[in-house]
Amino acid sequence: MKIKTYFFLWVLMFSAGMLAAQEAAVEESPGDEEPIEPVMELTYLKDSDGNINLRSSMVNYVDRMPVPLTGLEIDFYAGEDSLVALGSVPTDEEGLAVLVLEGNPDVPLSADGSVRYFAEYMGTDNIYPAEYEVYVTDVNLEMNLEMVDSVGTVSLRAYILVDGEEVPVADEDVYVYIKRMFNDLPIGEDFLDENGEFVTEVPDDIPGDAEGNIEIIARFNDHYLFGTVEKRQTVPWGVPTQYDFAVPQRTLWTQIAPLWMIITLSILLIGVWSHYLYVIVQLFRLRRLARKEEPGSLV
Amino acid sequence: MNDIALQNKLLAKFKPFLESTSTRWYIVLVILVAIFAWGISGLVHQITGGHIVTGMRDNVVWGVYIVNFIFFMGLSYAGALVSGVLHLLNSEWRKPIIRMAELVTVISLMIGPFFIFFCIGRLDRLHYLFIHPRIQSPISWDVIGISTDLIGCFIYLYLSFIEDFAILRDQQSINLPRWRQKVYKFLALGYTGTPTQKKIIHTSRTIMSAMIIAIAIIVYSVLAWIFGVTLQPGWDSTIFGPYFVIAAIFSGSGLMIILMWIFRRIYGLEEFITKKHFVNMGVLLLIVAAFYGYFTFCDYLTKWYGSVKINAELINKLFSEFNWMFIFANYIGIIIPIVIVGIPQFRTIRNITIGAVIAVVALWVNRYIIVIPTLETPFLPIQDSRVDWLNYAPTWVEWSLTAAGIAIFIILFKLVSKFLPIISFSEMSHADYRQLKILE
Amino acid sequence: MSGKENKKNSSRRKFLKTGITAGISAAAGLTVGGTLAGKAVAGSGRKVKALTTDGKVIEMDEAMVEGSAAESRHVPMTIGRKESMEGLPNRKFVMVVDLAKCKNARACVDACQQGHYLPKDHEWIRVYYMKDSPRTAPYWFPRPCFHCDSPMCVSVCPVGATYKRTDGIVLVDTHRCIGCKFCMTGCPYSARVFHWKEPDVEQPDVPYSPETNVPAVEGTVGKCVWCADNLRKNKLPRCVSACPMGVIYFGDMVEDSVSNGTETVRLSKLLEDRAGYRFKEELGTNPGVYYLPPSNRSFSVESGFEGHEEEIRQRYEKHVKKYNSKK
Repeated sequence: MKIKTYFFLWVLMFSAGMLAAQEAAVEESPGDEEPIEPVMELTYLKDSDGNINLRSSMVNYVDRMPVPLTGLEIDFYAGEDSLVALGSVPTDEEGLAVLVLEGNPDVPLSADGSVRYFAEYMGTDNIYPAEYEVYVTDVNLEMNLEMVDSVGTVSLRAYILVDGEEVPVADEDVYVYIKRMFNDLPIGEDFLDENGEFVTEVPDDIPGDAEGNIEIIARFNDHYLFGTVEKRQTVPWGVPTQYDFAVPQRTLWTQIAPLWMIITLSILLIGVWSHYLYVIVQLFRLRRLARKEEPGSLV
Repeated sequence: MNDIALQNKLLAKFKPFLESTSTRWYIVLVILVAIFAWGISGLVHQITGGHIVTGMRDNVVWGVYIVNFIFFMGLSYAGALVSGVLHLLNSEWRKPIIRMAELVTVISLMIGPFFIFFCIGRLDRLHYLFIHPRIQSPISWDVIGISTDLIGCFIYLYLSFIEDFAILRDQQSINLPRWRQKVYKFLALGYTGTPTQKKIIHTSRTIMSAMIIAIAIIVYSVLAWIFGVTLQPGWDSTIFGPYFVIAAIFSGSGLMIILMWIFRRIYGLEEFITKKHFVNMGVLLLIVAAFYGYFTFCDYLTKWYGSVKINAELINKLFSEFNWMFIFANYIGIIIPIVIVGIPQFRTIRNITIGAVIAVVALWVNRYIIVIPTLETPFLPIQDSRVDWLNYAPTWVEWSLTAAGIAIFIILFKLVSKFLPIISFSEMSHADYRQLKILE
Repeated sequence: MSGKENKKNSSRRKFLKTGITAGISAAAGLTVGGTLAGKAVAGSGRKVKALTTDGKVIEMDEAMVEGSAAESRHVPMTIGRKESMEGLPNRKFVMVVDLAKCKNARACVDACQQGHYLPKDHEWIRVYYMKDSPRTAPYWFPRPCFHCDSPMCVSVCPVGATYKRTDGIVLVDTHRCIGCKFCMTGCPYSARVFHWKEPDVEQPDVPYSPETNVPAVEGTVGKCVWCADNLRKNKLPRCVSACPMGVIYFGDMVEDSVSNGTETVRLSKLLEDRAGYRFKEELGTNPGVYYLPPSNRSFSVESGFEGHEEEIRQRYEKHVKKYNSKK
């Protein structure tokens, strides 16, 4: 009987506690009353290792400012009539969900040789579902870097595999960049010729890292057929840089003061305070003297 | 070797004041404490509400507090000048007034730094100035300088008191409570007037007076350099160091004259502080006023003549928005003291005191027009729609604290003068030491 | 007597037992419920907005979000004073502002204020309406902190609250700042602002970092920090990304490249082609921000008054009048 009472009491309090916490958490949040209509985008990136990155972003526009939506489960598929499930990834703190497929995945092709990639968000009572599709033709981009007559040369070749045969990609725009800290510095762009080839030179005065390494990137930039395809390679063709914060250690604005300031201050302080100490010592001497001598009177 | 008769005369003169307190004294004290309390309420309002309750904003970040700080520090020159310089020059006429001078120095040095504290945003981090100092900063120089100056002036003041403490300890004519007699005895350090003791005190005073003069000049120059080292128009002036020193001497001597007049009236000291003192101090005032006028003219002439735009804007502002203040500080404040002291017919005690009052107030206004107009004309124009961001207007908090500073100044003077005579007995009754060959 | 006492004791004991059990189970429930609802019991301390499955937007501790960047990030969560005094290695940051494109859209001001939880009147980047002389054309002048190489503000700080680090950025440690405002009079560009009262924008509950100056401290100085927290993640400062006209370029002098989010160019080429200069070079502070002269503008300066609150327009009115009257 006792045990039963305790058990019920326990359950009661526990549930009450849980409910209170949930309510509080929910009440804290600026709860939205209307369902949110998220804005979804899907981009295709084939990176330097040949892996396919499907990136889906989910944002909600509040007062014209984009607010990333986090923790939403995005389902990725490939194919048109028959969908192949590729995986599900939740969006991260910046609203991005990235699914990485190892090179040459087994995906169904559409009629024109492209692959349809499809991202979907199922939606809840408070968020509308969203979906996005891209048609991407798989292209192979090759980059060859070599010094020709002491000029750095980038040779590109792009081809599509049709029934196992290499068909060169002609007349499509391709870009060449040098990787920098924030974004990439463009050094060349042109259309591929009829052989799917493109050659450009790298300027010889590009600053690299301490050893002079620079990373050269060849890229189809958000191409209508191919998506974004890149090839990266690091070569020591840059100018070696060594940034010494070439400011002397002792200035007005550094941690340590200029030497002359310290010396002047010390001289002044020691000069003055030594006099003070002398006078104070004299005062003590006065007291000592008075104790020795007879108490006189000044009146 | 002391003029015992003179000493006794002085004792008799001060006896009623040291023995008992009049009702009027208490009434004045209560009024002053009320003003001080008003200031404290302003301070509490500022601490709880943040500095937004003052008139300071993002451009005029230094207002009446800094003006008061410089002003009070300037008053401390009374001691350095009258006491220090005249001690070294061994002028006879200085004797009745040196104690007032030294007291002014110590008291104003104690009050001045408080106005900096009011200006500081985080009072709970004040100790960082001492544990994390950067010696490249003029404020660090100021902290070091003012601490040194304060201690030095205190030592100097104490040195001048020792013999008086001994006299008060030994005398029988004034009835003093036991505790006061004990305090006098302790502070007198057993001084009995023997030659060795006299020599010790005299040498110490000479050393300290030299130090005080040097320190005072350094401290006030450092204060000037807080403004002078910046790039702001109006402050970026090479003349600031000497200019501030001269202005300080000016305000110090002005205050001395005022104090002389007040104490002369209260204690009936016509016999000791004579017209000669007023005339001498007045001549000093005249000379310094002339120098001050010269420096001011130099500063503004070179700014006005040159065509640098930002200086032209500053001068324009001074002559439009701050017109009356400029005229009062730099014309009236200079010309009137010179005229009063310069023309023999005007040279009465009362007139000289009026001239001194005008000079001291003019100097406060001068500090105001040095600090605030510059901050209102930065290189990048103030583009704001709020009036209090465009022009500085001090609020009641700042005025109340200014009044509190003046009130505490007077209160401290009253308290000290209750405890000790405002004229130094010992100094007055000394013969000239040079005549005594003992000290060679 | 003892019997009654015993009864009292036992009933008291019973009451206590029941009470304690109830209390513990309630606490347990609260904890579990709180955890389920996303309140961090012990977490990284940084909060992100997340949508629960029933569509409510809540604030979650970052570490609780699956697949979050926090889990994979290598940078330390809190950059304190010591870490913030070391600059990013082998970098010297520089900013270029293209006056030919600025039309006072003020997106930079809004993004900066939002990203650093600043009150409305704290503008770390401020846009001025400038007209240098009677016959020259007016232009809009965005002024962030210049992060000078010879910073006057650093020289005059008495307690070392502001410092310049090797990558060029000048920071303010508002936990050291005593609020003397000497740096504000030291800066000739009026780049610094002061917290005159408690900030009226709610500050997030994160550990303090001089690289963000969040949470703000009353009675201290604040200024543009070139979003040093973004730079650690190779992200551009907020004003750079927010500008709709691409006015502000930001980059690294060592690798000679600046970017405004869409366009990346070589710094040396940009300054040479467009005749870059620094503001008030003669003051000798060596600013880290270069300006490109306002030439070949395709819009009128007056368009910068539109689309803003009345208060913004009033700011500039007095100066427009003053400049026009000087003809």
